[in-house]
Amino acid sequence: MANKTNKLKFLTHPTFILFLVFVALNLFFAFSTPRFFKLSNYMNIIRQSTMIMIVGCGCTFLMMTESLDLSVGSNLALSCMVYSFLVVFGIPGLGIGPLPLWAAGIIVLIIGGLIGVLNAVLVTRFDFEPFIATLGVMYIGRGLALATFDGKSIRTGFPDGFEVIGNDSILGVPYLFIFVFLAIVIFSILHKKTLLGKHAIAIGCNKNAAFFSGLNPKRIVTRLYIITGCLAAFAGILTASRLEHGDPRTGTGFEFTVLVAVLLGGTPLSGGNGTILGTVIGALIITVLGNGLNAMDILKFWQIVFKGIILIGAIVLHSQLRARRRNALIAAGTKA
Amino acid sequence: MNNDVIVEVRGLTKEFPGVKALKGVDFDIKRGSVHCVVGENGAGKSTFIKILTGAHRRTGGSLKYNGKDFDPKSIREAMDNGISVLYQELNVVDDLTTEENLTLGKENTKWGFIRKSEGLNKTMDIIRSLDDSIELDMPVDQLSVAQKQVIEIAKALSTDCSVLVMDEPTASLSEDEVRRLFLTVKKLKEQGITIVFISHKLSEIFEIGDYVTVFRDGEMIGTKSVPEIAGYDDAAGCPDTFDDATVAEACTELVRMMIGKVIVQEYVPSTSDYSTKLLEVKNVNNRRLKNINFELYKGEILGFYGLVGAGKTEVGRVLYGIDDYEGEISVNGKKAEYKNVIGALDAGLAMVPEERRVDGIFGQLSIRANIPLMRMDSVMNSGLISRIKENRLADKFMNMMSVAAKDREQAVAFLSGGNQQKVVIAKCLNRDADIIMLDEPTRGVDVGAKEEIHEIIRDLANEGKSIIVFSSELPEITNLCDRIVLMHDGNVGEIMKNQKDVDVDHIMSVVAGG
Repeated sequence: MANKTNKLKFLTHPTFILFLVFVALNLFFAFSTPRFFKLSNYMNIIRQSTMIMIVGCGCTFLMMTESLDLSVGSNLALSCMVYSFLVVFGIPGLGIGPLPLWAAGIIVLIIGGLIGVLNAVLVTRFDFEPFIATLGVMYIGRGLALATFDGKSIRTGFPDGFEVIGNDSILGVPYLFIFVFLAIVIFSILHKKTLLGKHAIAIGCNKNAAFFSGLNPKRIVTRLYIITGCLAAFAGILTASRLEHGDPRTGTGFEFTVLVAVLLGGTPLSGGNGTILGTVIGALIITVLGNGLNAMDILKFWQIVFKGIILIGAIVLHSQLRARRRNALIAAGTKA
Repeated sequence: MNNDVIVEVRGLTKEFPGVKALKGVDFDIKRGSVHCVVGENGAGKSTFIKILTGAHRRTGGSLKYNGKDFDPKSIREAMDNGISVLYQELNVVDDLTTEENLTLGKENTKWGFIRKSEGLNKTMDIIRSLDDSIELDMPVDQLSVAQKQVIEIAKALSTDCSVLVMDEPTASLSEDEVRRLFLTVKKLKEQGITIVFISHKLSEIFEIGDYVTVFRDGEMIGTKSVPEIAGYDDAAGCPDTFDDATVAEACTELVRMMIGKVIVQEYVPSTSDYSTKLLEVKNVNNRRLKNINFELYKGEILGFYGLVGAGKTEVGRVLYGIDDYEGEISVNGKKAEYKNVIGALDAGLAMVPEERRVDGIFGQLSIRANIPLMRMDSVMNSGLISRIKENRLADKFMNMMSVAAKDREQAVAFLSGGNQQKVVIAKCLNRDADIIMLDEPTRGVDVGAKEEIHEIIRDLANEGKSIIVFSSELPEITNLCDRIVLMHDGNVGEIMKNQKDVDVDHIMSVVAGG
């Protein structure tokens, strides 16, 4: 009995079950519409889920520590706008003309990091609830994004090469894929192999024990907010390049899409648990859902309804799995 | 005094999975008396209270209330029958006024609007009879703890309560407030209400108690009248108030009952080096501690012993950088400047906290992930965590402490108490601190694991570590420690050297405040 359960243990692993859900969803769409099951469409799906995955890496870590970041959507929009503005106009106030792409990129990443600092200061120094703090910063960021160019989009005047990282490929592999792949690898290593990951999990698992063990939760959470801010800024740069325009209204609702992906991926709001792989599958499920429903010509409104249903279903699934796992472990523990 | 019995307990038992919390308890509570219940943590007094007030169901025996069998299924049912509890954690809503608190949950409404309750006048009369400074429209957060207690008491009385259980009501009161509470208790008694009074401050019993029941290890050790404990044969010759010497002697007698016979087993002195002073605490004071002085030497096991609330844990919290203090602490000859746990760890102190489940373990994480958390560089390899090193470290400690687990990947939450404690100790040892503090190192741990943990502590001392053990179990202290700091009410009563024929009676009289 014990042997059998050990061998089949992966079958009840939440990430595996999530993967099954993903496969089932694909099969459903493949049989429902001829437009879905094509290589070109899958390339599209990965492209669409890129930003969710990149930002989701940071948000997964934050949520492991029982925090969250609602400002990532407006951070993305602000970065998208500022990046476009810098490469088209430069900094007119200082008499600086259009900046090269790399310089604009660095400035935008720094601004993204500073938004992370703002979140972190509110949460760790002033003891704001992460939800409230990052909600406030979300509005600030959105306002600044709109203010950058008087609420208008920047559509012309981009230098050569602006669209490369968002659209081009190297050896047949789109740059976007490479970035996503790198993000997944780097953050999986951070999760499993570094102090940051171990401490993030430990803090989310038991704040008191972390305190008595001499961990520094504030420092860890601060770093994670900064990392997440930079990731959102990077996603903003990629968005500008991909769309080939700076749009202050982009990324509206993005923070919740990321939140849903992370929750789907098995990182609970209560922290202490979670995987990057889970978040990746979560992001794919959301994107496939949108893409597939589109291919079936189902209206956008209904897609939103489905997104909500999927989220609620995922939370129920995860809490059921967790309860079952706990009971199994307790049963095993009392036998031992 | 009315000798009528209101609560009759016979052979009462309560079993939890794996534990027998009450092992057949017999005693009576007399109508209209103040009946004190004392005992150390885990003695069974709270279990008894919970059965009486409907929070737990009994597993065996009988409990008669007013002569009839009584087995309340809920706190509500106990309340409806006239048994109410004044909890240590008060259930008042700070943001509401006195009136709103009094009617909370039984508001009189019409068309959804709240109307004046009729029962309110009655409750208000009760409040006025107890404390006339409380007004109906006062927001509760402006009241003192004692006044909030009065509100809770009034709420209980307004439901025609005849037995009021008070769970450590004086724990968070100032001396002045305690006086007022005792006046209230006396008034309640005059009204014929029976009070069941739980307190860790033994001297209080001699101010307001009529009877006292001592619990130990799930058994009722004795129920005596207060004059009897104080050494008077009958109530007639007994004075209204006792002098300090009598109270001290009587407290010692109570402590003796609470702790029982202490079998001093083989105490083996550690190979201490009394020429190397590792820790020196001078005139340390704070909210809970009064003028604490002691020293700790290399390779020594220093024990802190006192009853619950004597201030043992508070000493640990000061040393670990958690609580503020005035005074001077020197570690390794250097004045300690640290103000937080990280600083204390850097200075060379590590602690195994008292509440293992709450403050010690990372329950969802595996044994392997738990052990290195206080010093991650012990499992790092050029900046990254090495799984091989983690495994090796886990295996080392699991062997050394013989942790019983399926494998090192088992989540710590699912280990037995003793094995969880071993993991917490392993986590702390891996820090490789010079001074290791253990707060209640074997609470809730089975006998076998207890002996193993004691063996580990002795080995550490012999390896040259300095150990501080805070414990409310006297045998643990006398079996393990080289010197013993006896605490009472935030003070160091005495620091004594341990020996094979240590004077246990003397220890008891010091911790009782004598």
